[in-house]
Formats: sequence, C-alpha cells, structure tokens
Amino acid sequence: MTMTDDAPPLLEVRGLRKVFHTGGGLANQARRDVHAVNGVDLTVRQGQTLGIAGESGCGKSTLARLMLGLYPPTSGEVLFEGKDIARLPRRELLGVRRDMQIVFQDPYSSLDPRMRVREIVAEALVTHGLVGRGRRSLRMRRERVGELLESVGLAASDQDRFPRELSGGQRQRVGIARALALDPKLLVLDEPVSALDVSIQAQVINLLTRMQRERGLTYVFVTHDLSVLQHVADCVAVMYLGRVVEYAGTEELFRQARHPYTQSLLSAVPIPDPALERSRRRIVLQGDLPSPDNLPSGCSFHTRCPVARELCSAQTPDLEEQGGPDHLAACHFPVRSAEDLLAADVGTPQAVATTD
Amino acid sequence: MTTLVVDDLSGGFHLPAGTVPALDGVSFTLDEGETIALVGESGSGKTALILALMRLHPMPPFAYSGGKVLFEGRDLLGLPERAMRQIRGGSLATVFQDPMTSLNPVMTVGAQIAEAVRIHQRVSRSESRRAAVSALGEVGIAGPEARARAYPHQLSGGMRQRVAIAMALACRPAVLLADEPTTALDVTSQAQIVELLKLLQHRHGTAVVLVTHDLGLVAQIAGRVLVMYAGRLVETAGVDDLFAHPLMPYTWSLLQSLPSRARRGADLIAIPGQPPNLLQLPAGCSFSPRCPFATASCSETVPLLTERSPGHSAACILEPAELGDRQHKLETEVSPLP
Repeated sequence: MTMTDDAPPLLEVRGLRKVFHTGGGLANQARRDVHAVNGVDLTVRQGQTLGIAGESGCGKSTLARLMLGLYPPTSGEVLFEGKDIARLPRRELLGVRRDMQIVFQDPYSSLDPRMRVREIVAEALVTHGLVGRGRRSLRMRRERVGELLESVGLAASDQDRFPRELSGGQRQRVGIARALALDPKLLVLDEPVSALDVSIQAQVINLLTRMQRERGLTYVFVTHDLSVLQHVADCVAVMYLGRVVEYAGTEELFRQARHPYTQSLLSAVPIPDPALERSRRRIVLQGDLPSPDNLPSGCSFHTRCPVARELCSAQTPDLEEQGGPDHLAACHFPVRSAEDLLAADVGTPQAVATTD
Repeated sequence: MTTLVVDDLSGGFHLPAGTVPALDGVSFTLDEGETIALVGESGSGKTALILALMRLHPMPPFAYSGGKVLFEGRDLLGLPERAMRQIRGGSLATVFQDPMTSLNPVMTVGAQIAEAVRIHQRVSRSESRRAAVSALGEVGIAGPEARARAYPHQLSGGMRQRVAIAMALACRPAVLLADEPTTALDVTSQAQIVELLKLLQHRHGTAVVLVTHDLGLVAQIAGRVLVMYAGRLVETAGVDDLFAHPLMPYTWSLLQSLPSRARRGADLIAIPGQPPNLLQLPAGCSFSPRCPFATASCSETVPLLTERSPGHSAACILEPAELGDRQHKLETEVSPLP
C-alpha cells in the first residue's frame, strides 16, 4: 500500500478484448456479439492493490478472469512477469497459475459442499505436487492446511468441517486460505466482501490487508463498492461497458475525478453521515446501462452523460493524461468537479436530477 | 398522527431443532409520512418483523407469542384472513428486495399492477389498466403504455424495482414496508430508486419502513432508526442522534466498521465473532460476547430498551457518559499501519 509507483509491474494487460457470442442455437435467436471487455490496457505493480470499479455488466469480472487466463482473450495480451500467458505452453502455464489465485464473491457457491475444508484447501497443493495425494501424506496435509487456516483466523480443527457448518465470513476465510495455499504472488479478489455483513466485511478486509503486508502480495480488487476501494486500493480503474474510462491513484480519483461517469458513480454512493447527506447535491444518472451487445456509437457513456456534446456520439475518446501520467480519463470534455455536472442543463431529459 | 403501532410483538419459528425466537418484544410507532429505517445484520430479524407485520409468515412453523400490531385502529393479528387480504397491498403495501422473484414472470407488468388495483378498488378492467399505466408513468418509466405490455424479464433490474414500487403505490397505501429495496441494484440505479421513493413519499404522504443493512442509505433517507440485533430492538433514535451519539455498543461498532469512516490504510474496527445463533442465545445481553465494553454483569441480565434522552433509547446497562468515554478511548487507540 505504501509502495512507490516505480515498483516493477507484475501483471500487464495490453489491448485486451473479449467478445462472447450468444444466440444462434436451436431457438434460432439472432446471433449477438457481446463486447464484454473492449480494449483494456492496465498495469498492476508488485505489492500494490489495483482496484477495478464499475457496475454490473461493465466487464470487471470478465477482465479479472482474463487476467488469470481463465478465458482466452479475443485479442490482446496478458503479460505475467513479462510472459504472455495466452501463448505459454501448458507446462509453463501450470507454473504461472501457481503464482496467481482468485477469491470469489460468493463463499456459498465457490466451495464444493461435499468436500471437507481440508480437502478444499489441500486440493491445489496436491494438484501442484506440493504434498502427496495418498494416505501416507495425510499428516503433512493436515499440518499444512492447519497452518493455513490459522493464518486466516480459523482454527486448525476447522479442517474437518464441511462448508455448510461455517458462516459466510468463515467460508470466505476458507476461500482465502485456499487461494494462499500455493503461496501466490498475485491474488485476484472478485467482490470478496460483497456477500458479507458489514461487521464481517471489516474482519475480512483487515485480514486481506494484513496478508498483503505480511506476504508482499499483489492484489487486483474487483468491486462495485467504492468505499471499500477507497480504503484498500493504491490505484483504481473505473470501467464502463468493457472499457476503462478513468484510471488514477486512489486519493487523486476520489479528490478530483475527471470523467463524468466516475463523478456520478461517486455521487451515487451514500455517505453514512446524515448531516452531510442532507447538504449534498446528487447527480442521478438517467436511464439504464446500454446493453454490451449493442454499444452506443462514439463514447459509450454519451447516452447518459449530463454534459455530452455532438462530438461524443461521433468519436470514441482515448484514455488521455489529465495533468500527469498517473491520471488518465477517456473523455472529450473532462470535468473538474461535480459542480460542472450539477450546473449542466437541469430540466431536459438528458440532464441531471438533483436532490433538494 | 400515528398510523402504525407495534406493541411488544413476539414470535418465533417452531422447528424440530427447537424454537427460534425471531422476534422478542418489538415495540415502535410510525407516524404519518415518516420514514423509519430498520437496520441490522442478516439473521437479526428485520425481514421476520416485516413479514410478521403483514402476517405473511407460514404458520406453522411461525407462531406469534404475544403483542399487537395496531393499524388504522385495528389489531391486525386479530383480523380474519379476508380482511387482512384487503389491507395487504391496499393501505399497507410492501416492496421486496428482489424484483425478479416478487413479480409474476408470466404476466405483463401492466396486468399485474391492474390486478392489484382491481382487488383493492371497485373499478372496471379498463379503469384498472389506465391506473396501471399512470402508475408506471409516475415511477418514471418512459413510454408507460408500451412498457405495461412488457414481461418482467424484458426489463432491467432498476426498471423492475420501479414496477414493484408502482404496484405498491398504485392503491395509495398509508404505509409502505420496503425490505432492502435497493440491495440487488447497482449504485446508480439505487440512487434513482431512492430519489423516486423520496419524491413519491413527499407527494402522497406515505409513511415508510425501510429495511436495510446499508448505513449510508439510512443517513440518506431515514428520519428515525431502529437497530435490531438477535430479534430485539437494541437502539432507537433520530438519525442525527444515532450517528453522532450511538448509545448501544453494537450500533457504535457497526458505524466503526465502515470503510468510509476509517482512516485510509488503518485497520478497520471489526466486530469480532459472528452474529449469535438464535437457537443458543447467549445469556444476558445477546451482544455481550462480541461487545468491546462488556462486563461480567452483561451476561447476567437482559438489558431493556430504556429511554436515555428524549427520543433516544438503548438496551445497554452502561450509562451514556461512561459509554462515550470508552468509545472515545477505543477510537483514539486504533493505530495506523506502519
């Protein structure tokens, strides 16, 4: 978290695209191309936390899975320590996989209900040949799993339990222990606390920051919850319809977001302070997220943008520097503050609504 | 004017493993046009309370063990089912968390709203259709004529929740019970729905009980707050008072555990342990095993909800002044990361 920006990159993503084809099939529906990830460049530096923010359907989970090589990209490359994981021979890929692990959102569906915690956590160890599979290695497996469980705040004896005997927070700890079993360098956290109650959320966030500190882990933290990112991320990429629309250091992003979408996202998050909430003017976006199988022309946000002009529907803006190399935004007319958006034409259907 | 009085309501689920005391002596009142937020973690009994008010729990396993729900001068718990059906969805309406499961997937949304109107008002089919279209227009759905012919699956999540709200408000209820109405939605849709609820409430003077676990949402919308833990109300207060001076350690801990309230990089003050198992409630105060300020006497008696200052009650044996000191001490003790 306190690493400098010149920490070497661990993972780089270049011109990454993923198109899913749907329809066709027996029902003879029209074939559609869903542009889930539509040209993303990102760098994740060693020991840092890159936050990926966005709403459902923006492509953040697809991006996370592409980073791990769980989907083959349609085009572009994913470089892990300089090696393109899509082009690695199988053997080498297995080695890289050890270094990158994932923690999923839902600790109910991501743990096999018929396996004991011991088997869940040891599975990767066995697959990668770090402990034996047979009865003779049982003691070693128990020991290793016990250590891992204790490191995430569970009891070593919990390894004999089934997931159904654990609470949501405990299950998520099992998910984290499983991800840490292979001593990875990179952990992709896909909404790791979204399914948990607030009090448990804080426990798991504390655990994740402690693990990062102790093990020098690099995190890609995917979430829709900006207040969590503000707390844990070093830098944040905001996604909208498959593209990164803004990228900046966390404090910079929360202080002065330049993209109108980022501004409205920040404005939509309620602040747990009644007095502040009353005095706050809110940017409320009109309409719904367009479908990723039918992207708007030009800037894909122009259909909901309070300050869109003619150029926005004609030309797709590139990610450009905003006063420095560490702050990028893809907008023809970047804003300086929420005031710019609130001042925009209130009253027309495209305009922002405000609270009084 | 008070529209809803809940008085010492208790009830539980009778299961083979034992009785789950889901509601234990819940009392509160709701005034006309007021917004109350009901806050708590999963399993604290928030939804059980809403369903109990509406008499929507299957019985068995649920059984009321005492108390009253007075609405428009009548005790709902004593009404015949026929009369209850008239009230449900009429003057006492609900919106649930997941609009995909609360709407009928094989009926157009217009037909569903029209049906609700016909059940509660003496109107013709065509009048009820017109009422449905105007209800859709009122919740900000563009082209309500055409949208009325859509099925729920053809609409986005935010749009479906608008439909559910349109249906709930079509019969002009005096009270709207909204159970996590924005939890399944993205923040920008949530912002739209919250603005809509505020607007409609202002326009029609509807009183709202909003169930949520999101304290940000509470700060944004509520006038008064009820905090629930293990089936009991443990603190009730005006929203400003509650956020500024929580008098129940559970409420204070919830506020402390929010990432947005912590210093960046500092550890969050997490509540240790898990919410209690209702089948094996701890003795005394059910929060005491997780409470940073618990003393030996906390596990002896169950503290009652006691008014500590006008309009502010808490169920904690600690005196407000002492609690304030201890909270302040813990807040300053938390050290930032190296």
